Amino acid sequence: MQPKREEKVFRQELAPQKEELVLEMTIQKIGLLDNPGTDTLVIFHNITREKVIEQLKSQFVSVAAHQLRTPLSIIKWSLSMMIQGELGSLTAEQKEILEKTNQTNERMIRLINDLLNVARIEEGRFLYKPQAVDFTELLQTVIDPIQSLANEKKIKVEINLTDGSKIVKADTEKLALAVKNLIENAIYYTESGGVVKISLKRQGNDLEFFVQDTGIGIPKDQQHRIFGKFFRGDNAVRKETEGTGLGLFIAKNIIEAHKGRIWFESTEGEGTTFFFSLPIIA
Amino acid sequence: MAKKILIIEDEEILLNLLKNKLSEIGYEVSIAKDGVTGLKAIKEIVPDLILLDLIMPEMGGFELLEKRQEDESIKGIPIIIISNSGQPVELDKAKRLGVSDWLIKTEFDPREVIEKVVAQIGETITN
Repeated sequence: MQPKREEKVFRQELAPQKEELVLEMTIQKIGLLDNPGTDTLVIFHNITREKVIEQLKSQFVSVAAHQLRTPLSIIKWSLSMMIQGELGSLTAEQKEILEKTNQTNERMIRLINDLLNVARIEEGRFLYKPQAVDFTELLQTVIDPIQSLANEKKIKVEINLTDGSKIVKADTEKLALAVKNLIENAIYYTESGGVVKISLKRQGNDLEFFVQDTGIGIPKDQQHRIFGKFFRGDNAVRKETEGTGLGLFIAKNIIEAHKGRIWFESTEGEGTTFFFSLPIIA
Repeated sequence: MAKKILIIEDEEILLNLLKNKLSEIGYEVSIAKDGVTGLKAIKEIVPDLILLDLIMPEMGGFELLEKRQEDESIKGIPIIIISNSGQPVELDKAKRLGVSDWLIKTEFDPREVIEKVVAQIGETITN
């Protein structure tokens, strides 16, 4: 089921400029019981301070993330040299320990990348030079590298693409990130031998994409929080300690920044399907 | 004659690591640990390729790039940025300043850096 769109709620985040006042405006039709909807109530709420704090916080995360990347790159490069045996030959045990250390370091790098993306979303400078993009091609570039992850986990990936143009106006790098997050989640949270289905079709003036898995599903009482920042379902945490709780938050923000819509259907223990739609421009 | 590479990077471990790797395969490698020394070294050595970090003491990478653009004698030397940042707005700025390639350190390992170097200026002749 697609969630019902809230009626006449319009929200657009703007990146505030220095010295500007940021106001949240609410318009509500009001009237007496016997004469409803005759007057309009307009409320302005000054949210400048909240916005300034939000920006400061984002800048802090951005600087912190950059500072963290430097030591991580030193660790990465040094480990890589050792693993490749360039600083002398290694015993099997030494090599195994270094490879595990390297995996942990890579996980930390991914976390920092996610944090940087969140910081950039919150600063309102996330979309960069949107241009006409063939979504089918973009999807293919995302699927190819993920295929090996699926093979490793012995998960079958079925892809169903319909013909026809699906050109969207997009920031390619960001939209690819959103799609990648959704497909990777499906693979991470599905047991070996499971199936992940990816589908892309045209629906009126929109394209509709979904990725369906036979994974652990999202517990019903936690479904309303699934797009929240840092949130991870109980069963997801139990299954996989890795994961930042930022992937879906990032995906939702990217899709909505592209004037699209994202939703899901899920049954715990059976699987989850994430959908999104995006306006087609040609 | 061996091809000359200048690495401008303030992080000592990365600097030495790259220097060793590139020397091993025959390049003549010089180093500088900040932008001011780096710019001086570019003019003295006139290398075939520069590997440049962005955030450094004294003079940052972007300032160095701007100075390079003003000097005809060094303007044409290819540059690969090696940085921990890589936001689209920075990439665009670097392109305008004539940068040939860009590497985010956490996304690459030294072996891939070497591949980029070879792709840019070709292998060197070892004696």
